[in-house]
Amino acid sequence: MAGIGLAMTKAGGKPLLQIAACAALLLLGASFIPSLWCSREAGAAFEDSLKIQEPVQKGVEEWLSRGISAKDYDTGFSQFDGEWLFGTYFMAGMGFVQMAELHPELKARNIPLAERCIEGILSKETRAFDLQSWGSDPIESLDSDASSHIAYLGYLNLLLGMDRRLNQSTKFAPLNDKISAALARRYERSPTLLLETYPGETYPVDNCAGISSLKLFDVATGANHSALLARWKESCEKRWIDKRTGLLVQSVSPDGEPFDKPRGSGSTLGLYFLSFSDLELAKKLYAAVKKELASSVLGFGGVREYPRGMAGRMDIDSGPIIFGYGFSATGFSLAGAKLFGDEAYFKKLYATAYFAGAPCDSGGTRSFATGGPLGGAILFATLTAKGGSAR
Amino acid sequence: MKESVKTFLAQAAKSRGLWLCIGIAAALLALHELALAWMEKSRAVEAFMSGSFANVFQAAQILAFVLLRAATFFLLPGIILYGLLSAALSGMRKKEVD
Repeated sequence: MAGIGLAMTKAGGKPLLQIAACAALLLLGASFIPSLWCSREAGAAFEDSLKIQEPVQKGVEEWLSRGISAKDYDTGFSQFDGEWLFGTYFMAGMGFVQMAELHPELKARNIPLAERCIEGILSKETRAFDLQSWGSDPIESLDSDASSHIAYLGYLNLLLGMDRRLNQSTKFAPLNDKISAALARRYERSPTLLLETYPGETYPVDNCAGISSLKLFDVATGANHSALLARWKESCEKRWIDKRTGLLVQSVSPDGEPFDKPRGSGSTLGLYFLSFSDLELAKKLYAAVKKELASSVLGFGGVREYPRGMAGRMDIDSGPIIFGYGFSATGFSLAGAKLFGDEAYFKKLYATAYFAGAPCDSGGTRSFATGGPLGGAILFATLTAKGGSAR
Repeated sequence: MKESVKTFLAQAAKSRGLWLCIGIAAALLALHELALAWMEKSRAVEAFMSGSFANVFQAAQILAFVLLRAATFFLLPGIILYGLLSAALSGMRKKEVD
């Protein structure tokens, strides 16, 4: 360094040498300082530090107390606005329950918050997007099997199961009983063991939520759906997990055959859901995600939406895709890395989430400038996913 | 050691290169903070997150924010390092002249 300095001094600040020095320093600065800065809290986040998690919870609480509605979203499509409202309540609810399980001192505070999210999901406004697609209300049609509503019911029932695990005397227990009975009945009647999200649209990832909700129900009530769960797992491994990549296919045809490619968003969210019912299957999916989709540049981790060598478009599931890396897949992967103790990769993903999410801290509250209510709720749920012995 | 740090700081304070770098860094940071505050209130991000770029104006706003954030995070350390080096070099030059 001293030699370079002397050479530059002797060169009397020749422009070429100055430009070279400037470029070298810019490169040096860019190559490790940004990722170090963005991941400085990652170790504590991985260890479930309340100091990191609580401000994120407060950010979500703030949205909740302000009140959210479909009008708060501006995706350009009323259907997606409704889905995002539903997704915000769901992810926030999962986060509140997970936080209470990680930090028992928060239980009294978080149970009402989780219940508020469930009430939000049950509101007429939130149910509207599903009603609009099916022409029947998901809750009012529980006794009939004419429509399956697996996304709405599967996600809701997973949250109800989590709420019940936290609070055995929850007021939502009868609803959890009723939805679980309807889902089990509908799965038993389905020749493919998959239920439709919307008429003519079947997504394995939504079924991962539905099937895992039955496992949570079994644990809470002593019911036994183990035979159904075992058959579902066998079908999943045989038909909906891509043979070449080991990833979950995004959608299937009415006869249960793969219709879309195996993708990052579905695989990473699916493994989070499956972790509640089948850790082994979830772990296999995470291993496939790591092998086929994950990489890192300059200390920032990213997860591809489509496996290398496969092209595809961005959509509402993937979120934006930049240089092949999907926002959704990368965000959901935080949960997988945490669940399976992959601290090194978690830190890289955290650096990306910090950079892309643009956190804004004020008065002990953290919100994400580029995330809005849904992004904040997703990060809340994935950052509080319980890994290892905490599970 | 203490003495040489003091001397360096005194010389650095006189370095035009360092002050220029500090100025650029401060301007970049201020612009970034303003953009962050705007982005927190903006709804452009939702159209972007939905994966649809139907609204070109919203997409342009997001792109500008992303570029500004990338510039801030990736250029700032280099700018500061360059400023420090520039200060050190001007100090060495001054010593040689003396």
